[in-house]
Amino acid sequence: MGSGRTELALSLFGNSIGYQVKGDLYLNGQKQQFKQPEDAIEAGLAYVTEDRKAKGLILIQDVKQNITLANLPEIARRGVVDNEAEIRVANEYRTSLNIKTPSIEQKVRNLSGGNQQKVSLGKWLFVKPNVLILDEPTRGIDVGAKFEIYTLMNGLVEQGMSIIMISSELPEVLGMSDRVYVVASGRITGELPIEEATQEKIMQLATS
Amino acid sequence: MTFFQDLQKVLRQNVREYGMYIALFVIMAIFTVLTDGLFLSPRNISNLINQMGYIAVLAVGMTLVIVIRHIDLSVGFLAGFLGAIAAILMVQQGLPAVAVVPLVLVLGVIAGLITAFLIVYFGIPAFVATLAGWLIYRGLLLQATMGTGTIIIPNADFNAIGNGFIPDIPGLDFIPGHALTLLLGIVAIVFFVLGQINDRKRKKTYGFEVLPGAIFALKLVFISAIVGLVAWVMASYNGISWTAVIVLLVVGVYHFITTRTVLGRHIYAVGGNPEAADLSGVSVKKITYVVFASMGFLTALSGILFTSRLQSATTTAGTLFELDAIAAAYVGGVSAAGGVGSIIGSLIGALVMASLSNGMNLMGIDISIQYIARGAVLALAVIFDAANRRRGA
Repeated sequence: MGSGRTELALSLFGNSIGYQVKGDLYLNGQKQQFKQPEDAIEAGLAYVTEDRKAKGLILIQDVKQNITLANLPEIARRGVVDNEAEIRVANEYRTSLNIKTPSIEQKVRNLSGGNQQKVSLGKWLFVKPNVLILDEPTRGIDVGAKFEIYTLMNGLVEQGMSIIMISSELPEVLGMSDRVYVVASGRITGELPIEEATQEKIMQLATS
Repeated sequence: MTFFQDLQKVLRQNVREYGMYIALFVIMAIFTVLTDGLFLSPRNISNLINQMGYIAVLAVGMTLVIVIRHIDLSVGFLAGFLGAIAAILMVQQGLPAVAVVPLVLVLGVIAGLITAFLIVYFGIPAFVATLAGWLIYRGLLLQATMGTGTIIIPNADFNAIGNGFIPDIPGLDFIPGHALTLLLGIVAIVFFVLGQINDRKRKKTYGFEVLPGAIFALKLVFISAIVGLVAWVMASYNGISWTAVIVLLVVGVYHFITTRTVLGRHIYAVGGNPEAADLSGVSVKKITYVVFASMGFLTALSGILFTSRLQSATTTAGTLFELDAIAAAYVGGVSAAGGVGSIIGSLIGALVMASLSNGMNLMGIDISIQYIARGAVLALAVIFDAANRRRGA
């Protein structure tokens, strides 16, 4: 907390209002400027928030509405939502992410933490991003769901997606990463290829 | 036996949605009995609809404003002021109604955009921004009617909006009453029934929960009967009024936008969780502008309906409209917490409130009691909502 990782991620995602942000953003070697999340999504970014209840999901809406929210034009024709297409998409992610819900018409509020997180993931996978930013993706969910999310991440990377995972759990960081950046007090204090990364080194950079 | 068990279950699960229809039905039935049928007389129903028209369109706009967690107190006097503008343009400038109506609607949209600008750009709470609007538009209304006092509108086209009825199809005299109204009623029922059957079939193929067959049939019969009854009653008077046509059109278009379109989804997403919506690429600012522009448009429409109904612009036009519209929306199930509320619900809410006033007027109940009764119904509706939410329904 307070290291500035979420702020960094949000400013990459075009939501830097209220933060002091300086710097340039390059995507595939091209300089980008996102004024709002809409632009970032357009450019192929997706950001899965750490605070899914407050910033990620619309708890009073159902599973399918949450999954399609960030990419409604994909299932709409001339501004009108195609209900059938929406059901297909929602069922697709329900199956592929193994979301446990009685129905895709179930309100997200009624799902467990792990399943809420999967709905949040499904929503961002549906925008078909090139770069997926996961902010504390396994916080507050049970071991089984954690494992499922790790497996999913590995699968996505194999398919060519880039993932930026923000995490304060060192075993998770060391187990999942190819490259580790340490952020402390709003600055990147070090970069470690996974071969060189150890708990001690990371802690050292984090507290320096 | 299973039918009643099913019915009980369905009613319990959708207590809010059906409760409203049942409440409206009960209120209408009570007044019909207490007034010896006067309440359901063709003339009164026709009157009732024309009286509620200008509140109903406001309630539709207000629903979306409340859904995105704002409020608009300025709509009453803005409606009055825009009505006065319409009167002045027709009486003093001699413009025809066909030019005045669109012009006033555009002015309404501009007024709505100004409100949204105060809220979005300066971050002023909607309550305060629109309270300022309430004062300013009240002052402007007084200014506009200052030299003249009440402005009488002699324009027949314009006055038909609030008082006229749709023409009948000529040559159908063998049908008793207003043939076109009956025909429209039948068409509406057929479309409704076919649409519902289609919808149910589609839901079934996707394995969603649907109403049990017998209850589904009951619902179809019940709603068809009400639509048929209203059409029949209106047909035996002068037919459908232009006000009713306008209200139905507004409700139809807004119902479609809110339930079927990307824009509607975005509005409810912003209401349900503004931060999540923003991070999902839905511009909260843009939605705020759109919703307040729509509110302004409907306010202008309300002003036109009211001014036309009175055939004049008065110095106090629009007084308390905003509170009637807000009450109608809340009776109709809108939630102040945001993201919840339907257009049809608010229409029913407006009907409930208008029926109460109208029925009590027919019975000669003093206005003081009328206010208390309407206040009690509003409180009851919201208490009912709160209890429902706690139960997690």
